[in-house]
Amino acid sequence: MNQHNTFGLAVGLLLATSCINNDVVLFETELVASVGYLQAFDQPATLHIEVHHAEFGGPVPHALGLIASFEVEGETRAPDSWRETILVPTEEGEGLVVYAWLDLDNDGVLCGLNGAGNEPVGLIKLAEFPSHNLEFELLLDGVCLGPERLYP
Amino acid sequence: MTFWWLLSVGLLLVENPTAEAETSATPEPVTADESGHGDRDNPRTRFLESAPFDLAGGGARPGRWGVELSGGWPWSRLRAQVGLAHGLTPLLEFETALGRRFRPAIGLGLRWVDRPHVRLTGEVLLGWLFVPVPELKKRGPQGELRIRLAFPVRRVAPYLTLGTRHTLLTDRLTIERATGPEVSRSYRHNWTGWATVGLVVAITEHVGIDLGIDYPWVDAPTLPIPGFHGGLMFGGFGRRR
Repeated sequence: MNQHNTFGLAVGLLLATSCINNDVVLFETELVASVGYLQAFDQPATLHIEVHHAEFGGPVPHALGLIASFEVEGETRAPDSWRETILVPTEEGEGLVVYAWLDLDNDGVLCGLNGAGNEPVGLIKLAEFPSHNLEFELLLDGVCLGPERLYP
Repeated sequence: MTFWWLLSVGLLLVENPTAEAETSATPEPVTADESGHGDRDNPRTRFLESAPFDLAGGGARPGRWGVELSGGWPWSRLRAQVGLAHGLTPLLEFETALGRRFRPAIGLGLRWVDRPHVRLTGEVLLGWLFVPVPELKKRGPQGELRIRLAFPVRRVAPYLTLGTRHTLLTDRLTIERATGPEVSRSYRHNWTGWATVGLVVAITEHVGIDLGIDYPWVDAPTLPIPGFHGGLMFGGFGRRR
């Protein structure tokens, strides 16, 4: 390798390593969930799902940092399974928690004042994370509770 | 700003006819500067070609050099320039904001308007922006287009500087998939606008001081934070008279 190539390689390495500003690392994981309820809901309902970091933040981390949220429609009854691929910013937090609530009256509000008062909720911490494929069972055994009441 | 304009125009109107009359009345100005602007025996024109005024208005005549060292809040700067042929003036700058933001740059200036009491110079600079503060981290090449406008009158030269700075910032995104990592790069443009108004006072032909107010719009659209600076200008020592 002559001197010109060495110099070009050095300059290239310098540019490649020294001028990165935002360096974001996302971990792709596929979540495959089966959903359980304490009773049957034979009515159209929407399952609202949130995926959180278990711990989130910098020097003073706190529990639960929202990563993604999405909905699963149940045409004739409450959804009993779902599958979603998400990208987790691993440098912003640790652990993975999935929270879900069933919108029985489809008003988009958890236990709204004028709607159904007993909408089921559930949360699970996925101890196997980080993994590219996570299968788990999410049991909605609570009522009208936000994720911060269920974790930690 | 308006004050400087009115002051300069007023002084020009008052001073110019006299200066021209004196110049025309003297058949052979024995100490006339090679530029034709500066007559060093005439107190009205003695400093027109001084190093401080070259730095204020930008540009310099061949072989003339100048250095400015300024400090203030939040910006401090080291600037050096030297005149070459055809009005081209290479320059070096090193700038910092409170030791948290740095930009070394090289550039080239060209004086567009070169009248005794009006200097207008265009400058282009290429540099490297470096912000090591983790929360504000920025690194990337930066280019700047700048104009300098100065109105030298006797010992003082009010001036205006306007600049537009463009930085290329590179980001990296890594997605760790089951099949392996995918790495992609994206590029952002970052703009900083700049305005400075100030006054240069020539103490001698080689030494002067600079007082100015800076109004940079750093990393727009964030809020601009005005600042101020004071500087020492020197240069041209050893020049032939």
